[in-house]
Amino acid sequence: MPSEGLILGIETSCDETSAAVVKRGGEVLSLVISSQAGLHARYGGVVPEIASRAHLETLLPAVREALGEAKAGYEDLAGVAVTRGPGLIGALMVGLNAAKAISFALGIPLLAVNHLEAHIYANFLQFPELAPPLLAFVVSGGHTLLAYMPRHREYRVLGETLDDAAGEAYDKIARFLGLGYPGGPEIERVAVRGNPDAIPFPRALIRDGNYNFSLSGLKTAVVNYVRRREEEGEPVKVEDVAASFQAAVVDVQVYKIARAADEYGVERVVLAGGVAANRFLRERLGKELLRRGVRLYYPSPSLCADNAAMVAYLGWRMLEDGETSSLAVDAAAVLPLGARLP
Amino acid sequence: MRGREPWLLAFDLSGPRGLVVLEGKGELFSRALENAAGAAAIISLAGEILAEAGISPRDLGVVGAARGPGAFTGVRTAVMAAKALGEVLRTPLVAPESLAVVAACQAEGYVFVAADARRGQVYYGLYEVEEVAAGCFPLALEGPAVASPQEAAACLGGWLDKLGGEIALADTGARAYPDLWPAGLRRPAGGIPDPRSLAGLCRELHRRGETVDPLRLEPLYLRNPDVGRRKGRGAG
Ligand SMILES: [Zn+2]
Repeated sequence: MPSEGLILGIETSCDETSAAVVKRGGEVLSLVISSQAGLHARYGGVVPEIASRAHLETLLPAVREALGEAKAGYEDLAGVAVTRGPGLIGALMVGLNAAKAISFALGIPLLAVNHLEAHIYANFLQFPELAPPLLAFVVSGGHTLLAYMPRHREYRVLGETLDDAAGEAYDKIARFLGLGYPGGPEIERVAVRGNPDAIPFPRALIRDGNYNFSLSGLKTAVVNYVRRREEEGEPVKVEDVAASFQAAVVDVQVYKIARAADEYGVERVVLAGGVAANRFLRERLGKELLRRGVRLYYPSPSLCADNAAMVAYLGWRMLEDGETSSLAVDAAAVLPLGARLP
Repeated sequence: MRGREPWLLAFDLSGPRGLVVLEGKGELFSRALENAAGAAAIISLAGEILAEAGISPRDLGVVGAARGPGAFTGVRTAVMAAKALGEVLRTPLVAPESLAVVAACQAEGYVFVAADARRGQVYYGLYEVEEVAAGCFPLALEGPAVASPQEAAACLGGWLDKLGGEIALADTGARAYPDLWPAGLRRPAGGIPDPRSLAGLCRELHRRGETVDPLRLEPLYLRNPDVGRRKGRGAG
């Protein structure tokens, strides 16, 4: 029976119900991810009420499974870490209330975690030698954010998306092109067979000197291109559209991250979030950073996706920092990176 | 002997006014929440009343949650809290219907309960309330169901004919339809839901052995999710 005190992690911010058990120090003993993607696929996006209902149904079985795999019981827990935000408010509340009840019943600390920060910490979980200062690029279905991290748990947000998150744009374009859901992996799958230089889609904000991102113009350009071809009776090569769209998204990201790496003089960049699993982004960015002697880190696919191991790991670090949460802490649909609890 | 019964903790967040109740050893402690916005507070409120009673979570012997129908988020919050407490503390769980909790606020007889379900609908049900040791126990004769207020009123009219007019009306949050219901019906007094009735109903369900496994406890939604509200988010 493990005696060193384990952290239970719970993640329900979007459409994955996840539970994990992490040892103090960061060893992942178990990670259970129950994806709802199949429930939302026919709607082409996450339906909040469906997500909340599914979390309620799946969470306790996931927690039991995670404890079982870790060969641990509730009595072995030293803390409960849970995503407090940002995310879908109803979905967050399911996980947060479960975590509060577990913390209360066991008399152990509650660790209310920022989801974006947990994504970044998935890198520290995977690469123990990794240390700040570094740049973090959080890119997922709900977020596109570039931050400078001078020290552990300190952030300066350099830029964010002004409209769609990358994953959101991938979903919409995939849907428009008649591809499956979630859009990111689908676009990437099809794009491999296409030419990224076939169609010169716009690179928004690439030279405007800041670190913000915008994808609405690109989305419109893709839709207009396809419609125009169809009107003209010309064939549309979906592979080329997907590849050129993906290249336009990634080019801007790579350009801005590389420029920020120069400006802040960092030697390390970490990718975080579901879209960090995009191989095209990893390759292009890795190559560009390598020319500067900057190393790129990204977690393995299961730690890129929404998962409770990163939540438990960050929870453990918070516990070490003495940063525990009150049972009255509320879920937050919007929660800036680096915002500390009162 | 009531004084020897285990401590009971129960939540009801299905209506505009929520409740956290602790009952045992002949004592009752409770906190009211003014609306669903307070839902995040239920565990800390439970902590407050347990401290007032001088007991710890390990002393709880029964946990209850009103399982709906009602506000989805509120019902889910109460149900999730109860599921997790039951799971960790290994206490029996009871989960009365939310309209039955309202009906249990009334004395003996027939009670028609209607609650605002938004989007032009009401949740409704007809209960026959009998007195039992723990308080009042409502037996559902109709519903709980969701329908237009007119359909609910027609249902009530049918039962008035059948039962000869002796039906009280409790319409929590359904006062948006003042002219809908037949005139002259008895209106129960007092707050809805009432801490004593919530505790009493949970206690009676426990006594009858009508407990639920934490993994199986699910809200009673009565309505499919609104899929019109979609958030364009993929993995991650
Ligand atoms: Zn995420």
